Amino acid sequence: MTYLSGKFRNLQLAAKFSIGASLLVAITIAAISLLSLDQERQHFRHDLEEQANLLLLSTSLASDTGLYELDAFYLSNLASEISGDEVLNVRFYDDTGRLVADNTGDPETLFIIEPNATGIDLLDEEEPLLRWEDERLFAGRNVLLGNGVVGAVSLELSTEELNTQIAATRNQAVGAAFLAIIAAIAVAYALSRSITAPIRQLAQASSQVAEGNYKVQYEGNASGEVGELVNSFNTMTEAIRLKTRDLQRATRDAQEASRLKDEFLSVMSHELRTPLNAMIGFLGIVQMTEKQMTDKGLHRVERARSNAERLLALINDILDISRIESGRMQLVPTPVNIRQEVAKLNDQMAVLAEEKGLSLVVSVDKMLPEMVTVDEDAFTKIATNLVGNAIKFTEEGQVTLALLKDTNDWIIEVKDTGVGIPAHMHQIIFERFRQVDGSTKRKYGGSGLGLAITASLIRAMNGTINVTSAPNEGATFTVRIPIVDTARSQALSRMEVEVA
Amino acid sequence: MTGADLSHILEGLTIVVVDDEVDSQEVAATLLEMCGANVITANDGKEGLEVIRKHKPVFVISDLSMPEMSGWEMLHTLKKDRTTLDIPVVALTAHAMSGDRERAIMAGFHNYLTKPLSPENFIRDLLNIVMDIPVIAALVA
Repeated sequence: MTYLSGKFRNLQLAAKFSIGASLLVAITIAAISLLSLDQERQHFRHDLEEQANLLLLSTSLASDTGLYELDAFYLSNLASEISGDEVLNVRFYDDTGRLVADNTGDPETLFIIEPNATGIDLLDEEEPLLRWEDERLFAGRNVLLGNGVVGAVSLELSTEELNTQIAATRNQAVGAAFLAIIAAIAVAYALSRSITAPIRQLAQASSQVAEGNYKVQYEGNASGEVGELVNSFNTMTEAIRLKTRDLQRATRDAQEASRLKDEFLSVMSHELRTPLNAMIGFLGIVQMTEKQMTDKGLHRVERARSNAERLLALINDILDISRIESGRMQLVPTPVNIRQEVAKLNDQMAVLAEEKGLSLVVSVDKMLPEMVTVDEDAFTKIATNLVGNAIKFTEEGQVTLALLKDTNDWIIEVKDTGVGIPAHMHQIIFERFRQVDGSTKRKYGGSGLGLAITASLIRAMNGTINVTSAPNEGATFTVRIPIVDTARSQALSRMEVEVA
Repeated sequence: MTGADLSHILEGLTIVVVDDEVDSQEVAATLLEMCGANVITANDGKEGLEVIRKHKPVFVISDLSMPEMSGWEMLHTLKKDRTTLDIPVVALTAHAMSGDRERAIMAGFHNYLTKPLSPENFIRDLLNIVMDIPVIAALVA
């Protein structure tokens, strides 16, 4: 049953309708047919009973004298006259219930002297006795002459005719029911098609909309509820089409604006950097060559140069972030000797750490292969930013840089013993121009772009960055970068170079 | 190594510096001259070709993006000429053009230096990458 109902649920709507409707029609017609068939039967039986009564009456009238006189010959003839296809048996009994004559004309019956039980019973019946037996209707009554009972008569009527009539009626009913069910199926199917066809077309149209074709409009004819559905579908697709067009326009405008901004930034940065480079260069030359300069003078040149360098770093950061965010920074992963890179980094950063009296501890996991496929610049920038930050925000203790290997990732972990970061700032510090608060900005300096750049670079490498920290308990930044198949990425980067 | 140690290390060597930014060009030239080099400057690739053909320098330091003729084109032309084929050209790549470095090596530049130039480290960095040029190797040894 569950299997069937499951099957039914999976059928198409039109099939469900048709099956449902034809079942209903079939049940109704069957019920009506049964009822009318029964009525018909009653009717036929009643007719036959009437017929039997009439025949019985006329037979009794015709046989009263014969019975009074016990004229067996006459009665026998009479019985033969009456019997036929419809009247199977005619029997006469005398006033003691003995069988006197019947339609067989068999003289032997005349000599049966034993009273007949049926005959005796019938002598008392003034009203006709009717009894339905298999295939026949038995009818009998007494025969009166004057006021006296002179005998009885019994008839057996064939029900064959009746059965034939009932069978004919039943066959007609079955035929009609069959036709009605076929008609019902046809009508139900046509009707459900008229409902499901527009729904099916709507479904097709919807899937086109889902694929992004918003120009679809349903053009078939539909009325009623389906018509309403069609109307709202058309309104909806039109609305989506307009919205999408607006969005596309807005996106295009935004992209254009963003492109112009990037272009402006890149041109500006270049234009700003060129004179700064020259300034730094010339100031450096002055520092190296002007031996006769006073300490005060050298100090001022040093200040001028360090400010120029800060400005340059800021401009570089701004350029970096705009390139990363516009997606124009193309990372070029190549196999990099990661231990060499870390050693280089250690050389640069140890100086900064020493200046603040901190120790910088660097380690590389033995499990990490010699060559790691990564964009060298991006790696350097990430490590430099994180270690630089750690040194900047740590007053005493140590900064640790560890490169670790996990199953699918390699990990850059930078740990410090510095001021730490309150929990609510753990996300915000990766946004642009953000530091823990304005006062730290004044105290520690920096553009507030370093972590944003770092996070963007890591995102571009499909990696993640996390921080665990609490105020005054130091901070640990953990960068996870998926390990790239070296051979494959080498092939790719070579291809890229050739294309370029 | 300090600046003093290097003051004569490039003594008598002819080096061509090609850069369209005159200040940047002058910084490089000054730093090289401080080490005793004979520096000839050019403002773009075209000028660069002329002076290189004329003076046959030990090596060339060239910017990549320049008007008239880029560093790429200049290198291409040098490599086609048998008389200039062997002159090493060191590319000067801007910070912004990160993919340029790998491409520069592929294209046939001897090596690359990154802008901005660090006044203190420029000579040392430069020596590191031109050490494999026989004339320079002989000088330092």
